[in-house]
Amino acid sequence: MTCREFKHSAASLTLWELSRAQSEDEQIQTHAEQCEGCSGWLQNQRTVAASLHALQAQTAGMQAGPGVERALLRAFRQTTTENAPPPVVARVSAPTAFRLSHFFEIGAYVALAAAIIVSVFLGVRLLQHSSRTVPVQSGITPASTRPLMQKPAVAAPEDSSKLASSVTPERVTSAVRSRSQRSGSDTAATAALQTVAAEEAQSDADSDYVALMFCDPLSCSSDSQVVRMELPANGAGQNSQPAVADLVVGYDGVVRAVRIVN
Amino acid sequence: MALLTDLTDEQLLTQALAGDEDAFTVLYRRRQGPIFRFALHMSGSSHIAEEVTQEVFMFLVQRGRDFDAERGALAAYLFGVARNYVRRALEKNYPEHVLGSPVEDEAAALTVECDPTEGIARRQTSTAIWKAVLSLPEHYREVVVLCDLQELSYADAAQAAGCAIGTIRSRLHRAHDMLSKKLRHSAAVAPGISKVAARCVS
Repeated sequence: MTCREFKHSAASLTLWELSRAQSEDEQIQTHAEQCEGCSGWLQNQRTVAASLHALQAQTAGMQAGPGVERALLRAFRQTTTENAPPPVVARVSAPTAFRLSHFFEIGAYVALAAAIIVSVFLGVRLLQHSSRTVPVQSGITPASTRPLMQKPAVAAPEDSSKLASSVTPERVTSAVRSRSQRSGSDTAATAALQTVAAEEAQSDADSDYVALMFCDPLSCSSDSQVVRMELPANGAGQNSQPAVADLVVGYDGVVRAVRIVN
Repeated sequence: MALLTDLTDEQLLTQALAGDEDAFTVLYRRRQGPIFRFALHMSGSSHIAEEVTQEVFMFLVQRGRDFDAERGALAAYLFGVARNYVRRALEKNYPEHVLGSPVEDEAAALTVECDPTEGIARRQTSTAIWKAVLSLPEHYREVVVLCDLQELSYADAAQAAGCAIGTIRSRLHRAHDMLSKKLRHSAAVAPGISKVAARCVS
């Protein structure tokens, strides 16, 4: 047996087999007696085996403490309880209840979201509506026309409707012309009257106008002009004084609102 | 309980997984010692060994259904699980527990007083052997612990370590050579080691 064959054979044995004083493999024993190097190697292996055997013997009685077993048994009981199948009644009813409650919960959220959306939409619409009416009111009393305003006399509602229906462009033009002629002669009296009347008229001017058409923001938010005109008196049983009215005329010549002054 | 002790590990595991607490207790008491000692020899700390033992059996309770009896024995499977937990524990606690004073404390606690006059020498011997084992690289240490200290067969050790039988043999051969050198060095420092070890064996 060569040293290589000796090592190869020894490697196939366990440490305990090698450590026995009389190895079961006679060839190994014979070679170890003849070869000093292999004998030393075998001796080292036996020393290692003896040391490990000593360590093994010393630790043979070692084991985990009782606390580990208690903790494990507790965990085992808990795990088996968790893994145990639930009662039949619970298995049938619990998921259904859960599904229903889940359904209602989602429904509530959807309803809430819809209510928020609708309220926001309505709010926006309301704001849009109010913003549409504001330009008409602001267009009714532009700064350039204020001096012409006078404190309106008490106007009968039935008269205002009749007057409004009789307004025509030709009459508007003549009224403007006659108004300019008259203003030339009565300048002093008119100026004093206008100063007082302008302040008072400003406060309630907006409320006296009656809108004659529905204004869309594109046309009614543009500039407009107030034109004072005289309307022909109704002959039957009335005095001969013509009625005076303020008309709000847009840039397109369409009358948007009217106010009976006298 | 008397009947349960006659059952194999695999049968006990099956019953335990079905909720039989007695079967689990029998299985635990049968296998906790080797698992604890494996972890103790690998880590050098009884604290880590207890922790690993508990985790191994907790793993068995929770994921015991993954065990396939056709692939090997339950004991080897448990050693494989323990090996992974020991590795994790050593990664966390390596500087504190390995090769430190706890090893000497464990060795002192384990020393069997064959002869009171040899107490000191024996303690030195135990510490030196254990230190030599613990100083081995991990893959060499585990084959020494599995094959030499736990006396697993090469096949079972291969299953636990997750490698081929040939790998176990070559690692073991190399580990013995390394241990021999370390023990010779220790013997040069403390000459009584070989003698005491031999006497304890006999």
